[in-house]
Amino acid sequence: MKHALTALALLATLPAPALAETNGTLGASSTGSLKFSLNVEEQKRIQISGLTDVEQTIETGRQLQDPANTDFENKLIWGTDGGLGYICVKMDEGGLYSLDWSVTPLSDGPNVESYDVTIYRPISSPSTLASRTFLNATVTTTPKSGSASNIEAQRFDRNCGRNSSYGRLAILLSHGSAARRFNTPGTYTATITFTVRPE
Amino acid sequence: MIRLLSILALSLTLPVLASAQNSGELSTSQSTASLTYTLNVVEPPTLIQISGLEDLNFDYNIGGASAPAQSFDICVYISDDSTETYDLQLQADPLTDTNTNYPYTFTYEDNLLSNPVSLSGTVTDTTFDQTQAGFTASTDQNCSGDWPARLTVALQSDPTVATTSSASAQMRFTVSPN
Repeated sequence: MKHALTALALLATLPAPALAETNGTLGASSTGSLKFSLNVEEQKRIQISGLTDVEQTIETGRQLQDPANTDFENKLIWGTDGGLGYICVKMDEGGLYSLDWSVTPLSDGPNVESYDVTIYRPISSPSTLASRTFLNATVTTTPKSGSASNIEAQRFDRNCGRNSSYGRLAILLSHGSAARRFNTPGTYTATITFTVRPE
Repeated sequence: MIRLLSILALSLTLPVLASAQNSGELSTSQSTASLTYTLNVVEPPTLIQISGLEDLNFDYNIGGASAPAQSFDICVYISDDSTETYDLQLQADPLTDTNTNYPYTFTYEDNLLSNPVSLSGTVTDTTFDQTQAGFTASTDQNCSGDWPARLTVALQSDPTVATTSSASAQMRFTVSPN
């Protein structure tokens, strides 16, 4: 039904097809013809889901590797690691999509703390797909953005589970060194945004 | 109805929580989602500890000499180097048996000569309960070689009892950074 409606809507917006018309001849009767064609294409729907907000707390002057930092570790925002869920991109019947990403500095307004961001497409074994890394950088005071294409999406009727390489995206947040300290109190926030489009 | 109004009032005063759009819309053109990473960098809590307290036992023989005053040093440690002083709340119960109160005096004093702060009192038949600010703490949890406070306790006068007796009291010390 949804496909039928899509086709109907598409039909209404299609330009008039080029006519291979034949005019009739002048006579007691006259016959002309035209070519009637209908092109119906299915537009692929796309949706990204499964991003999870991350919040961590650390005391000033304390190293990340301090055992007291029980909630502080590199955060892999994918799979079941830390219960953070996964990022999943689905399209009708799968297919390829393009990705735009943007990452803002980690800031509380006047102050900025650098952090490391890795955005990649993980793979599972066995897989015919290769892992791809879209971003692996330290974010300081300047936002970062970029794009990538030819990424395989998952079908809507399948899940982006651990056993599938299709559709999954991962983000790894870290702070460079286990000896890293933060000395200025504040609530620092950063935003990571993905926009996906069918190709 | 009152409860309903209370809930309504509460909901109106709650801050709006910032939230990222974690899932994008289903669309034929594009789908956008984001996450927020929040790092809370906080000052560590200031911790304080009092230690080195000793139970006191005064033995007095009927008709004998006065029991001498007793004293000992006390360790008070504060974890934050920038917080040097603390408040002391001292609660002292009467020293009593079934028939008699035995008045006693005490002095809790700062050992730092340049900080002559102390809290003294006499306890007779009611609990002493006072707070004094400005005592100096140690930045060493074991107060090694530098105990910052000293407590002295003495019976106010010789017991005037003719029979053997046993009395006990409790003193409580509550310290907090200031």
